[in-house]
Amino acid sequence: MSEIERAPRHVLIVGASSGIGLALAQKLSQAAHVSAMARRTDRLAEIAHMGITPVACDVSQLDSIPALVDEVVAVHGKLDALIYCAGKQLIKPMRITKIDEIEEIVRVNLTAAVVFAKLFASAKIANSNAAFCAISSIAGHRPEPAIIPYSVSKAGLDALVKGLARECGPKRAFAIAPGWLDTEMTQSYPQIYNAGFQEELARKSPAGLANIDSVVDMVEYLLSPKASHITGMSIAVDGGASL
Amino acid sequence: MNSAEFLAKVADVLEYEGSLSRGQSLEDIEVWDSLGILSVVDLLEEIGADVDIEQLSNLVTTDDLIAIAGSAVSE
Repeated sequence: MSEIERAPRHVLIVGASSGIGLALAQKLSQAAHVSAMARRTDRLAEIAHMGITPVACDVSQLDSIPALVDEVVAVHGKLDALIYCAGKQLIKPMRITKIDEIEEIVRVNLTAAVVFAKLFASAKIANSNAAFCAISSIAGHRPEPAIIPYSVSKAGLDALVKGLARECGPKRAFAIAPGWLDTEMTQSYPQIYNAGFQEELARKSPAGLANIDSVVDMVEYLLSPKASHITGMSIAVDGGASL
Repeated sequence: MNSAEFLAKVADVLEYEGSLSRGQSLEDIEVWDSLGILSVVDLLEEIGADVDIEQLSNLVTTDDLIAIAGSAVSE
């Protein structure tokens, strides 16, 4: 097997304390060393026994990111994969959205991801066959009313992976664009994400409701040698809800 | 906050041109649409009232809106 075809050995997951990031850490740690970054390290401590290395990181503190990544690489070796899962949601009509809320959404969802991508681009940080994966959203493809700053940040991630794929080949870059998933983030909006919403979403999903496992499976596939020629794409995993 | 102050805030987040009165039909308020309802959800959260969109969508008058704000709004 050539170097480019082998599976990842060191994976850095950013935003690994809940939802997709946590599920990915648990799954990928079965075959690779996982360094897991999150603001809430108490949550990471619960999975440390699986051989996962927890790293405290508040992605909104952009200047702190390079030193943390350097440290992870110094201890566990260069990265074979970097998965950016950190994200915040904001559901508000534009007219009442505050400027600091816009700034925070873009900083956490996009600017910090660009900083991680900048580090990933370096041969000192990531191997030549490494892959960068961003958890985007179908909102980046089709912005819905009341989540426009969120949608803008996710569309930015899609542009990021396209550019990264072109500039940094043979390193690969791609995004996964889930629809609404049952996660802590969506549950934090019970006034929106209620039973009626979920029923309507199921009705609009011809291939059935996607879930966290659907996303984990897609990431695992894209990181595998079977997907070694897929790069620059943002792939919807939403059961067809966005069609 | 009394009910008049609350309705003034509702009018503000809805960007309703004019003032809202007690007993006014929500159906007659042009800006009482999905984005308007989301704006009112945000206002209600700010003042400490916990409601969901389905509850709000079923309201009929501004009096119902005042009632749903609970103890955050006095008569």
